[in-house]
Amino acid sequence: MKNRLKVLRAERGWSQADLAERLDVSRQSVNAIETGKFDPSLPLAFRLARLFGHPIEAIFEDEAVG
Amino acid sequence: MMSVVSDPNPSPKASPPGWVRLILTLCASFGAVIGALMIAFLWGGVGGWVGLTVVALALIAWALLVRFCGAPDDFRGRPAGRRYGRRMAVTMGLIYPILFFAALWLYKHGWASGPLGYPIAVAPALPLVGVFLILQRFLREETDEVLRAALMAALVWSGALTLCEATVWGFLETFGKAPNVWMWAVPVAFFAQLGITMPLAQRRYS
Repeated sequence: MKNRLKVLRAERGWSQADLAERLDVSRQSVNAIETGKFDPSLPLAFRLARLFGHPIEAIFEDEAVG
Repeated sequence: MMSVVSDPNPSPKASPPGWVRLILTLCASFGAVIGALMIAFLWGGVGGWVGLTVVALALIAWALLVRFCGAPDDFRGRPAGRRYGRRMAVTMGLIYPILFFAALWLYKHGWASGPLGYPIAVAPALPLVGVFLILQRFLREETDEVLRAALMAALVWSGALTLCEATVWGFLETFGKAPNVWMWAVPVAFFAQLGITMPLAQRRYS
């Protein structure tokens, strides 16, 4: 699933490791989600949305609609 | 519309390099199986001691893997992974050798001939059963979704491979084309293959 994680992370000057620490996940998970190799669960997607202060649909792109 | 922004602070790559991890994984996995088979079939001769040395080297490779390849983004670098490593070290590095060699000693000295033979025979199997409980506990404690997904995939691949191998070997044995292999080799083969399939499963997400 395409997403804006890399953009949002770069805007804040965070590395993948920084974001991983804030989410309590591995850096590999952040990388896998960013590159669209892994779709996060709904709870993790909500945590990402809260962290960046955006609604989920502003972070993740619904490819069926797009 | 997605735009691409260069990462201002790219995360460092985990070290040591992948090929070192692969060699250590192969040594730890295949060394344990080959060594265990040599001990089982060649005990009492030079081959048994060579097998014991091979198992010891496999344990060293496994310890190096846990100690030096446990990057923070790896499952071994996370709290649940460290607990998993400790439990595995105690179960397979301490309890299993004690029970295995104690059972072997009791068997060789005639203690296993009567009903006492049943608990003596079952004793070395208990740590192996315990490893499945340790895996189940790790899956419950680890909160990282990618690591859990990779482990689940690796468990399925290893299980399928082991069952396929056991089925093919079983028919070869039935038709007299292969020697008998003791059933305890099945979980050993499963865990050895888990050592191969886990890094492969993790590659899907890296």
